[in-house]
Amino acid sequence: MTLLKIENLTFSYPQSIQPALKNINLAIKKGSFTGITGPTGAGKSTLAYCLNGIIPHFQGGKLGGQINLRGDSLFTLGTAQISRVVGSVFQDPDAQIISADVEQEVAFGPENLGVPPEEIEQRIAEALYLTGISGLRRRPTTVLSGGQKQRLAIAAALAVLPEILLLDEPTSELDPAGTEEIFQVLKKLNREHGITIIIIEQKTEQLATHADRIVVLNEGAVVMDDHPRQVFSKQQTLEAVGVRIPQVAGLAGMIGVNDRTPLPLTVEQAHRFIERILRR
Amino acid sequence: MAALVEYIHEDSPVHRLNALTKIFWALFTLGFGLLFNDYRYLLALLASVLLVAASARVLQSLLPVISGLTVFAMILFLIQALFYNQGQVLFYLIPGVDRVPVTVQGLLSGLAMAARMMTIILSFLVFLTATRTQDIVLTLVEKFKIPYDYAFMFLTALRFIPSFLNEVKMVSDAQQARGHSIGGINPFKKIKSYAPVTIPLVLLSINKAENIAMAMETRGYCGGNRTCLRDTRMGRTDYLLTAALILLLASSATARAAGYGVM
Repeated sequence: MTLLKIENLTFSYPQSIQPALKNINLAIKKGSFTGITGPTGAGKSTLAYCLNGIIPHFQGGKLGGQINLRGDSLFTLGTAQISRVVGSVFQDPDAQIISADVEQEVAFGPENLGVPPEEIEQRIAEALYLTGISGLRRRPTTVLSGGQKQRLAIAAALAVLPEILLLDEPTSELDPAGTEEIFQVLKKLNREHGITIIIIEQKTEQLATHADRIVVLNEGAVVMDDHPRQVFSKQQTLEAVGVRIPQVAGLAGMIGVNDRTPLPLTVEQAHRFIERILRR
Repeated sequence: MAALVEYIHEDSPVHRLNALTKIFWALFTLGFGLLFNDYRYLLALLASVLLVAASARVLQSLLPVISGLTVFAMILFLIQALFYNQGQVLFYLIPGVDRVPVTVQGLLSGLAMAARMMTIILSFLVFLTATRTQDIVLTLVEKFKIPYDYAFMFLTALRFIPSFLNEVKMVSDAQQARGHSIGGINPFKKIKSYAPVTIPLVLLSINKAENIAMAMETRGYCGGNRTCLRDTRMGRTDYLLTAALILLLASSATARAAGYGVM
């Protein structure tokens, strides 16, 4: 089932000649895990702003095309209505945590939407459990680590019970351990709870491992949209665009792949790949 | 000291009270403290405040503040003892010529002043450490009909003080690493030397404010009717305590008018 359908989406920022997004067409299926990547300035964040209503409600500009969210035109919905379906997590952990303590932070979304207090209580427990930070419930938000802050941001987005979780480079300010924490949480939410994930990410290693579809943007346009294995086998195109190729995929690309030895995306797959080649 | 006076999370009976009750308690303590000037009354009041602090389990954390206040109390006591020269003379500070008399009344009124100062300040500190800022503000919203947007603005500003201070340090470190020197003795030069820190800081803050606004938008802020997780209603204990405090204050005022507790 298609949750979100983007048709011929075009957007230009005010006072800018070049459009930031050019004729984007994407359909996001329920329960999918989509990674969006591309070089800096490719329009990734602009696309995210279009999906959570920041454009056109907060950021003005010239907008063309259509986005359909579960049958409604997204541009006619208010940000509060959109927020019931699309939960957003941003890049800077510090600039999206609004409250002074963890509990209040998770409660903020449901409070705004008028959820009764008893239910907010349940949602907090659930959201903190899903992100693995139940133990931090009474802590002030200032003492959390970067990874914990981003997990809190995810919990806060989950408390609204969205169908789609939209993340804009949530791990860019995190170390490898923090990055892995976030992706484990996202994987669990996707597999076990059927939450649709759209993540903008430069770290292609993680995307290759966890996403079931990768969209590559360049200069505001979609240049690739396929399964990770297909995307990362077109390594010359990726290099021309400036997208980092995961190490194992790059190595396998140099050795050469065929039908019996498909492109590995994870270290485990690379292990099997090399074994097969050596056995030949 | 500023860092010490902040909310301390405990599950104590005092913490469970409504913020409004605690505001009343602090204000009434102020009232009691100003009504009487007998040192016995004021010392008893101080003891009661310390008792409340102990039952809120914040006494331990307030100890450094209390010891700091004691120094001020001593100074106050000394000044009062030196300059109050009516009543029964105990001894002269400059013997022989009989100058600077120290009187019994002077010592007692010094004691009273010191106790009063400590009581009033401590009662507010106990209130602040045992009440979450959110609860204070939400109570004000509820009871005094302050619009939620303003209360929220205030709370958010409080929340961002620590990260703002972080940024101040970050920017000034960055500028110093590029060879900019901050400081010097001349105050005008010092102010001028902060310009390269202030400008990036303002830009950073504007940027951050925009990001926060976006985060709020995507979490449904201003989506119509709001609910509130935390209950700001007063319970039975709150009403009983407030009534008791009012009664106590009224009877003390009567006692004071009849001449009790005055020296």
